[in-house]
Amino acid sequence: MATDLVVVGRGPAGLLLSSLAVQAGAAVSVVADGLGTLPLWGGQWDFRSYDTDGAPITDPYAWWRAREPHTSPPGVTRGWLAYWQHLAALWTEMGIAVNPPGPNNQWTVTPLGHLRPTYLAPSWQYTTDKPSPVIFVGVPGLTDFVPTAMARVYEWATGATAYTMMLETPPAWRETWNALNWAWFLDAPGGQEWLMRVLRGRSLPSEGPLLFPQILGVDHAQAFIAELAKTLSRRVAEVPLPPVSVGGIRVQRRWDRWLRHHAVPFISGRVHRAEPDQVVLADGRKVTARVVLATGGVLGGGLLVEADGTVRDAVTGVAVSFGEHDDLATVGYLETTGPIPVVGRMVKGWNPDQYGEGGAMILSTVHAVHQRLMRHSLETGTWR
Amino acid sequence: MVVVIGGGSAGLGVAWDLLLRQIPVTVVESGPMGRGTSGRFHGLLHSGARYAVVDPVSAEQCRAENARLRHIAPSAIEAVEGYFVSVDEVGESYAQEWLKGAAAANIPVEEVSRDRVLEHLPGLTPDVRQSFRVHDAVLEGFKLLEMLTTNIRSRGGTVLQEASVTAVHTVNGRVSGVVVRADGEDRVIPCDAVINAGGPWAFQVAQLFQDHLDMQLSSGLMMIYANRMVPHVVNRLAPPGDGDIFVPHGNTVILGTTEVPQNTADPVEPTRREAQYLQSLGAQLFPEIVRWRVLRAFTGVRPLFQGSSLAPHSRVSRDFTVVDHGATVGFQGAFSIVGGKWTTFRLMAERTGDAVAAYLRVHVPSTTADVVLTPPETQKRQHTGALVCECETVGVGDLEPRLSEPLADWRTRTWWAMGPCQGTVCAHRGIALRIPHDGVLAALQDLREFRAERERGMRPVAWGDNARQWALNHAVTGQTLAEGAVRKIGD
Amino acid sequence: MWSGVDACLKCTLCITQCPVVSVNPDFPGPKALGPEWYRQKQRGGVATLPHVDDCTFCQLCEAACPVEVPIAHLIALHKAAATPPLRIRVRDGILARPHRAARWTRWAGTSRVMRKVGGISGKTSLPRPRRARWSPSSLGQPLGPCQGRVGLFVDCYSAGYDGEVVEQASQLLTLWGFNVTLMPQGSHCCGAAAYAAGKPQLAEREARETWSAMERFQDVDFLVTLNATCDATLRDEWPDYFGIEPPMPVVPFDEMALRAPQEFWNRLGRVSSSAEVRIMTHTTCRGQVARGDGHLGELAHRAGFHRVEPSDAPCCGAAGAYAFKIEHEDTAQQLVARLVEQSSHVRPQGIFTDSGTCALHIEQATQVKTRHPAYWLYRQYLEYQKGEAP
Ligand SMILES: Cc1cc2nc3c(=O)[nH]c(=O)nc-3n(C[C@H](O)[C@H](O)[C@H](O)COP(=O)(O)OP(=O)(O)OC[C@H]3O[C@@H](n4cnc5c(N)ncnc54)[C@H](O)[C@@H]3O)c2cc1C
Ligand SMILES: Cc1cc2nc3c(=O)[nH]c(=O)nc-3n(C[C@H](O)[C@H](O)[C@H](O)COP(=O)(O)OP(=O)(O)OC[C@H]3O[C@@H](n4cnc5c(N)ncnc54)[C@H](O)[C@@H]3O)c2cc1C
Ligand code: SF4
Ligand code: SF4
Repeated sequence: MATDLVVVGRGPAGLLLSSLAVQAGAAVSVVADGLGTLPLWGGQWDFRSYDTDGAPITDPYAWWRAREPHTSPPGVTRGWLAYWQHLAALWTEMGIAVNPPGPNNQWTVTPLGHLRPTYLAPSWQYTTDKPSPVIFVGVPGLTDFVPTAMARVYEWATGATAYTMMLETPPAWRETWNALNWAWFLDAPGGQEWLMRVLRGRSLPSEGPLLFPQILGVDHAQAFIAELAKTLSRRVAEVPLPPVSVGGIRVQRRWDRWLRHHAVPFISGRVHRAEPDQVVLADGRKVTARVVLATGGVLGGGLLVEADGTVRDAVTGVAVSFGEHDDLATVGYLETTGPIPVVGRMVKGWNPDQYGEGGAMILSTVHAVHQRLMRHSLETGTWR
Repeated sequence: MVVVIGGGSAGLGVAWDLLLRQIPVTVVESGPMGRGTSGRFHGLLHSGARYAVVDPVSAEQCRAENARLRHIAPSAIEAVEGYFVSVDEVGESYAQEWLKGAAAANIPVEEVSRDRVLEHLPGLTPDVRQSFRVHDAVLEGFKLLEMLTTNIRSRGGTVLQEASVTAVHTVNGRVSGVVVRADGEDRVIPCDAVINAGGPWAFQVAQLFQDHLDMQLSSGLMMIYANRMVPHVVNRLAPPGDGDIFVPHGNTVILGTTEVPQNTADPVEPTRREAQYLQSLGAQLFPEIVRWRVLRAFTGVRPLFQGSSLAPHSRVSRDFTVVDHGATVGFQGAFSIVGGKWTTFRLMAERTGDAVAAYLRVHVPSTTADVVLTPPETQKRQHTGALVCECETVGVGDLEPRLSEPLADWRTRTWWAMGPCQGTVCAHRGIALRIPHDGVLAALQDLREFRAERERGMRPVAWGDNARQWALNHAVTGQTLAEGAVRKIGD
Repeated sequence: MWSGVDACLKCTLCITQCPVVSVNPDFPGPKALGPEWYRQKQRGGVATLPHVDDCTFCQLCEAACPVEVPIAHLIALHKAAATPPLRIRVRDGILARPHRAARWTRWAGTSRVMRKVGGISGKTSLPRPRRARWSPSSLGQPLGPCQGRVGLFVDCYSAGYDGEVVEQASQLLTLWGFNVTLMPQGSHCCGAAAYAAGKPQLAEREARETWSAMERFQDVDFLVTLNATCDATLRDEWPDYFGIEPPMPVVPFDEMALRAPQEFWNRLGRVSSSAEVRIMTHTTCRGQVARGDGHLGELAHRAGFHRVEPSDAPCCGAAGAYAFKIEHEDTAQQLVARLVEQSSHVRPQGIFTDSGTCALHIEQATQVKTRHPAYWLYRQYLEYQKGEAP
């Protein structure tokens, strides 16, 4: 297959890089041995949520600007707004509604009922500028979302009232149901009618949006949420849950589909060896084109942690850390720009788990590599 | 009234022994159940075979106690059988001596053919030379601790947790009471005798009696593998050494152990280097171990007793010792029980009980060998309601009846959050159940402590797939749940 | 035991990709049925879970898993431990030997009552044989020098019901310059059906017999497969689960096609009539897992179809003999409903798919002609020839 670029990995970094290259006219192949992390969280992209002391950050632009000379890659702060706008536009094209990126972080609610900052979230997710009274609507059997507990924490953290409501179970319900079973149920007309009926029969507290666990459908969630909001004359939104995380699943499905409909092949298999312009899969297949590794660091499998603490690139064998000197949370390549470029969680120094900067990490590393590839393709006249 | 300091196997065992002799007891335990070595051991109910050569007395005691525990606490023992296998010349030549020792201690040993053993122990090294079957079994320590606790309570005894003894009062040189600190407050419990069952902390407790126990503490590392890859106990047939036993436990298998001298009684954090070393030893028996998914590592502290510096003491065996501090330093009514094994805890308790009963002039013999312990109602797992812990299938119905127990007891009693994901998907679910009961601050504090505790065991063995588990754990707790930054808005 | 059985991280990625989870509220899902069941089993026996048989063995769960847990293969062991009612066992015994079943080609005439008794779905039509109807040399001389000898793997389904596609593929390969040998001879099965039905040992026996039947073809350079499931079975299960290397490298037909001489594509490019014809492509689940998705689209494009839509359904529900089984008929219908919905928007005139049973199932549900790429390429080439004819 004629390919200009082969992206190894189909997590958020691989998907974004592939999309940018497709938009630039390149023929892209994606190779991956697993699904990547996108379906593991709600799909909100964080910019920078916390300061080094754990204090929430309101204005992430200001935070990055203050560190301009030290950011990697240099000059990224000037690009931020454009990157975020591009992502928002791309998602909109895929059918993921998202509010235009603003100047500040928003608040969103965690499954334990406290608030955390986030930057860009699909519109099905509850976000707000200012905490205010809310209604947590739970369903039986979903231990990830316990309204009574969430309300206690929410009230403690914000001082605002949190009401709770518990729904009953539909006839199709099984005790084994997780959030995704609920979501598939509510993705179909039968489930949607059931929920409408149940909610119409309830009297709602006089104030506050209805906050559901993230279960309101898979492919049809957006329309269904809009319909619920209209019928109940109330804002309806969701709180993302730990895996199974339906929000991320929705984003991943739409993104995969967008790429497939842009004729991007998804080759499945483990990359065994990589050179700058060829990958060799474990079963011997080869794909020849410029290679970028979006292999996801320790969690994604791109970095292998050995028993003695050495951390290696699982594909090239290059050691990026020896022994226990480095923090496992931030290990990776110093730069995106080695002989084989790396993006996403493969890059050192980012710590999304501590600072809430996962989205920024993806945008910064992916755009840096994309810009280099573009320059290269202009110079060499490759890419159609 | 007798106060027992320490609620490990020795402390609860002696309390049970005394209660059956109609002597009222109060056990004071400074942590949650199993804080000490009794919750940090290898889980082996010894057949005695391991000590056949090095310590014939212990060997004989283990053999007898093994049979007794099967009788009095069957639900805490999994009768899996054990194998001794030799994999090299050292082992093969040791075998002769070992067989003689076993015969002398009346320990039944049955030789098993190479083909049979490879069939029973898939994955065992093909280098196996000889193998023998013995009556090793699995001792579920936490289950037995809980069973002892509930049996003591139902016979009128008291077991206090999260309470420490900080001083011992005497009248005319005889023990008259202890000071117990709990929740920052002191109170005095009057008593006629006090027993130090402080395990590795016993030397500190003995200072309350103005005695000096000379103890040599050593740390032992154990590694838990995610699945029960080995269905029976497997010992390497060789002079006892490091890394030579596999014990299946629940859904897992535990490899142990090492022996590293240390100064403090608190267990040390496992290190990557030691874990790597232990695994390399395990690989000599099960070469595939390098591909097994490791789950966590933990250490326990052996309370080896050297002597009481001031006066003679009654050494019961090389293994455990009952010290009468009246005899050593004139502190009448104070006793210490040090050393030993889980396997022999009942015997240790009986010997200690004999000494204490004699001091109190109570002439009732020990009956612990015959009285069968009643399993607590809560140990009959229900799996009712929605799942909370997916690895170990613990449901809301298993946890809700235990809402007033400390969080640590949820782990050790229901196995909640003990599986391969180490609480990644279930810790917050458990905490959510507790919030309405305990309040926001206490529950969130519990959650923080829980995460820190799991981290200590995961991090040293964060390699291969377990490193990915560790990374997923951090992503879920740090990002989805944002636990690191729980605070009031505007604070 | 295989490695990875104990690796599960509880990440749930497998669940997100399981097609059965998406339509069947009773299905416990790959994590519960695979690694979690196996962990309990290693502890010493647990009951089998209900609905384990509803797994299609599509292996999409395995493709999603970050740590390579052999989820679907553990589920196959789980199925093996379950004991369904006798009549279902009898039926499964037959369907797990499709090369035998396929010899009895009058299935399709079986009455509704008999189907019910035999545990056969009334909603999925059973295959009717499609025989080749033309003379072997109709595509003309090879387009270039001899490229070597290939074996065309005649899978049980093609052998029994689709002589047509075997003939078409063989002629195309000949046109591309290969000497083609049909193999193995006699009735054989790669073992896929037995594995999927939870009979891994039978699967291995069948595979070994097939291996022996192929071993004597010494001078064959490649083995070309027509069915993605057989292809994946030969390339994955054979070496990884049975410990047998296929006697020669295995290449799926569509990958061979992508390597066809440029002249072939140039010729198809002259068939102008198809540029506006809407086509859908559906890579079967096993094909997606073993190789990926997107090859069929590329093939269709090169064949002159420029309005190609990839299918959004991960699995059509046919899954070998799955859709024929009465207890799966609803799940199978719900799975294919995704394709039906999509095709009702796209309105394709044809669907490319790389498996005979899937084609049958999809065609029945969508009422759109659904065929193997060999059929479509062959058809396009005939169009080309027609255009060239004086
Ligand atoms: C639980 C969780 C919650 C999160 N929450 C947030 C959040 O709230 N906000 C936010 O902004 N971000 C969040 N993130 C995202 C996170 O911060 C990272 O940005 C993201 O996980 C990194 O994605 P990636 O594309 O770099 O790698 P991954 O998603 O890990 O992708 C790696 C890819 O590489 C493939 N691969 C690896 N090795 C090979 C090989 N040898 N051959 C072939 N393929 C290979 C894998 O199969 C996979 O497809 C969350 C992530 C997780 C897991
Ligand atoms: C690595 C290792 C592996 C082992 N494996 C096995 C095995 O497989 N089989 C076997 O039979 N034996 C085994 N053993 C031995 C066995 O576990 C121990 O001998 C036994 O558990 C010791 O119990 P204990 O009650 O004496 O001590 P502990 O269990 O340590 O109990 C002492 C208790 O005293 C409490 N305490 C201390 N000070 C105070 C105070 N001032 N006030 C209140 N409470 C206090 C502590 O909190 C602690 O809970 C192993 C030991 C180790 C170290
Ligand atoms: S093989 Fe397919 S149907 Fe079976 S559990 Fe895996 S994804 Fe689901
Ligand atoms: S995808 Fe793999 S690791 Fe994740 S839950 Fe499923 S089996 Fe476990």
